[in-house]
Amino acid sequence: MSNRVQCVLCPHLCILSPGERGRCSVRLNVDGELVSLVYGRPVAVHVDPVEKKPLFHFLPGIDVFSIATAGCNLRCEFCQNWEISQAAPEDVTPYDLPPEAVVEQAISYNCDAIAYTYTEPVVYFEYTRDTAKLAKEAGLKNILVTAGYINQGPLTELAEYIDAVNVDLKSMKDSYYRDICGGTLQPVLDTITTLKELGTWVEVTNLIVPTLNDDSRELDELARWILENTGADTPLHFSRFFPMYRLTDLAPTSVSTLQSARERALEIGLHHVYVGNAVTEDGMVTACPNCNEVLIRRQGYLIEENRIINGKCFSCSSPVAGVWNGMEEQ
Amino acid sequence: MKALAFFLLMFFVLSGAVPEEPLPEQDSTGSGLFQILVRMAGSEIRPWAKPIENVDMERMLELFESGIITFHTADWYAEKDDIGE
Repeated sequence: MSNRVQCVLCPHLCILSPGERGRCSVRLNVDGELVSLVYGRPVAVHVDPVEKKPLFHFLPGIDVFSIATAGCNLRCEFCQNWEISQAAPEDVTPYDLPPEAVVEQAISYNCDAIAYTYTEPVVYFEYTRDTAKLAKEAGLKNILVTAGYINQGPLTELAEYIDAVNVDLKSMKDSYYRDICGGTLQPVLDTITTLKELGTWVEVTNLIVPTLNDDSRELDELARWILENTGADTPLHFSRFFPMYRLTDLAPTSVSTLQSARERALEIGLHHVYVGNAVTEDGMVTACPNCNEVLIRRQGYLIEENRIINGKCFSCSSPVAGVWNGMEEQ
Repeated sequence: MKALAFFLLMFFVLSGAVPEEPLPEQDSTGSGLFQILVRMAGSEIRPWAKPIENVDMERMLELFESGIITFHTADWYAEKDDIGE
């Protein structure tokens, strides 16, 4: 017997001989048994506003206890957290924080939710699942910030405990996923549609990288795909690229590119399109899709004004898609 | 020049020397579903992904004993190789 193991958590389907670890660098074959090297060993622990994830239509203003372990199953050349996402677990000093302690700390910091974020929660699946289960029992919400490169079985299991997800849809081109990120497109699209079907609140982020995925036709295709597959009410965040990791030779995304992408996505029919990592006049404003009144005005990650009342526009009473304080999902 | 290029092309085609990536099912090594999966998921056909890497198990055991890493079972989403059983 060869003691090989195939990890079927993500679409890479790594087949590992004893002593080999997967492309995520955190799942290892030890004598024929697959083990997680990072269970209860986060390397980043912070309290963030929910707007930072970004989630703009999920309990605005709440504080979120946010954790990440080392590792990622992608290798995006623009990664903002590459020091931990591309690190092997032995290269970063971790905290000792088992699931019970995560929940206890979240409560002690008056957080309403726990986010599995910064790197890729898919690769620390067991830690995410067990923590989310305990958090749910304790009355906390669970948030996943992910690239969505996961197989359908584990995704469905995890979704049972997850309230909101921000999926990073990096491009509509499979070649971009392969060449820039070390993955493939279709599993990510499947993740978005599956989460939507399961009733999880979903927002989508697209990082616009100059010269690589900033073609207006591609950005329009992305907006149209969201419209046709998840509906007009799915919030889309166009995020500004800054030179990072292996792409330090590119300029930051121009604000005009971001604004133009937003305007076209709104014209295509999406109701809520935002601009992140850049200061714009209305890129962080939530407006009523019916009467166009300003509903939520944000300054950075802070809520300046929230005029959504019981999940409805204060002016015309139209329901606003999202999960709002004191309300069930619309 | 064109004639030379045509001659070389015909030579490669007729001699079967045109390089071509074999389809997974044309690979005769191994058998069974697991072998097919091995070939589908092998690093050699995913050059764009991060590589699978060998670790120094002695060092990993030291890290485990010092609490830096865990050996938490992750077999819920794992398929085991039953070749040779």
